[in-house]
Amino acid sequence: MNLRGRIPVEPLDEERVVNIERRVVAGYGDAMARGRATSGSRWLLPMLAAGAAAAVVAAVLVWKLRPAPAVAPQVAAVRVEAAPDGSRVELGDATIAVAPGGSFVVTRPDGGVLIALDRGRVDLEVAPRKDRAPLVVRAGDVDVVVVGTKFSVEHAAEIVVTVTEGVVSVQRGGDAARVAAGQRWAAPAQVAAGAPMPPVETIQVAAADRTPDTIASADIEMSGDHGMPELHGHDTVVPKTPVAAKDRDKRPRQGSAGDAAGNGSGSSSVGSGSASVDVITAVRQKSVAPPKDVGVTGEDAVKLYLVYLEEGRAKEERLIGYYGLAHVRKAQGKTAEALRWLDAYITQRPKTGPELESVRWMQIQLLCKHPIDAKCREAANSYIRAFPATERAQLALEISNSID
Amino acid sequence: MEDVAAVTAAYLEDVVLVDRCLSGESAAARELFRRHRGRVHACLFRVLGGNQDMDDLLQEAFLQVFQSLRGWRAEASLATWIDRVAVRVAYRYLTNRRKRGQTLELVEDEPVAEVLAVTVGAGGPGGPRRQLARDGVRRLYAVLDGLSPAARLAFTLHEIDGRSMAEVAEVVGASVTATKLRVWRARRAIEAAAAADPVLREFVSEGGAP
Repeated sequence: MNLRGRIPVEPLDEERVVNIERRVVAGYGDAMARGRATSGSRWLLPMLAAGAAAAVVAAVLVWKLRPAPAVAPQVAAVRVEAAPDGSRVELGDATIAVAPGGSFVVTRPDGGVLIALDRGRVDLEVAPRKDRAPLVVRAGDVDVVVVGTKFSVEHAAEIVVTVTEGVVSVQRGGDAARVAAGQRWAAPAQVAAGAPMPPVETIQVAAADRTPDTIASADIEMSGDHGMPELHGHDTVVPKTPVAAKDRDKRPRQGSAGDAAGNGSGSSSVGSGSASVDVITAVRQKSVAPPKDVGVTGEDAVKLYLVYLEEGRAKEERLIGYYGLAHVRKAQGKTAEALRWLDAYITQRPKTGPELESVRWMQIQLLCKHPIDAKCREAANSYIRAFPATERAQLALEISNSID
Repeated sequence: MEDVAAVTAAYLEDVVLVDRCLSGESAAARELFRRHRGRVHACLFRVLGGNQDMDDLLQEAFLQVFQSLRGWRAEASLATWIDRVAVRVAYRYLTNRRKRGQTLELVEDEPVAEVLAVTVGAGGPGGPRRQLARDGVRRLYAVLDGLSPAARLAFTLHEIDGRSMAEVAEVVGASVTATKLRVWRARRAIEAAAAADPVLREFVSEGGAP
């Protein structure tokens, strides 16, 4: 049986074609409008009830199943010296009041937060650490592991841990003591090796006593209330360990619009109502790997990149073409086309590399706007799955966890 | 050899054209229709076996294209994607017609005869081979009317439109295995009908050689 070419198409006469074309063009606007509505109001009412229930389930699942970045970004240590009348430091979900004369260094070992108290007293108010980056206050060889609480640590001749709410774990050597609200733990700063842990003492602590009356604003931000916050050092504290310019550039800028303009003085706004705006701004400010330089720009560059897509070209060359075209169209503001070139790049199934990372990041940059929607979140999740260990994964995670 | 640069340029033009359509440019909609109308018409014609209801089907296919245009991603060629939409329209049409118990008729006043005369080659207008071809086509589509829409689509797109199994599978949204099975079932039905119908048997066994 061979029927190919044996039943040719009867052409439509010109008048019929013109009529069909007229009807198609006349209905085009409505069809496009229906297309836009399909994802919105058309299905809104029937799906409202199911959607509400599904959203609750999905929120729980997303929270429970969200990928945890495997490696903490390497961020320089920041030293905080209290102002003469005391300082206040906002570290994401932790607030630290530093008494006059106090000094500590904040670092990010293994994705956690380590506050190494050199001297003086700090009062902390920290959100529960369940599913969040661990936070430890270190005074000499004593580690106070925060579970989620209000407490103070004083480092002088004696190390004193006072808890007003919640509970902390005080660890020294191989021993540990649980200090709960209304309890205090104190021990000499210098002890002989193997000395026993002192007992926990129960005291009366007034919550109002925990914070110095006068505290100045110390502008250190730690973005992200989940997972891996990052440090933002500014001027009002004395950073004795300067942050390298390259590291400074790598930091996501998640403060207010004023921060983005370079005069930042506020604390982290992640988690506030404008969080997605700030995160999206930070995402867009991140640079991506440049495409292959073809010596020209705009439409001339498009022509040259298209040469890389010609039939018979190697996969590596096609990747150059797709990536270059995506760059040009993105720069021209042609978002939809840029996204298609990025899709085409990904369908080539390239192995991981700096360009693939940039492709995934560009997808987030192009898809995400305020309020954050499902496509944006999907792009962020794809990025996290592919590149969980990068510094940018934190920003992607914030997008993924956004509740806009 | 096909001009590769021209193919690539056409692809880029499609991408740009889609963006223009999405931005509400009716001139772009007209251009898209003109660029793809011929192929979509050919596809629908070979599936259905005639131009009956073709005006409505073409209109419906392209309006569906515009309605779904935001969903087009560059990993599938625009032509394949549009064909997929058109095939879906044809599938719905065949399903509804089947429910109503209707069959498509090759009507006398359509220029089928002239087309078949060119195809079959031998015999002048009104000659015996032309008549045989016309009757053969009619009987073939009568058998296809008795098949499920899915089998008919698979068979016509593969055997008549000349698409590969993989291409047909992509267009109809089925696996290659399922597509092969449908084509095989359709062939078996046609061969069974041909065994009892000398006109159909002669038409399908001609092998395309005039």
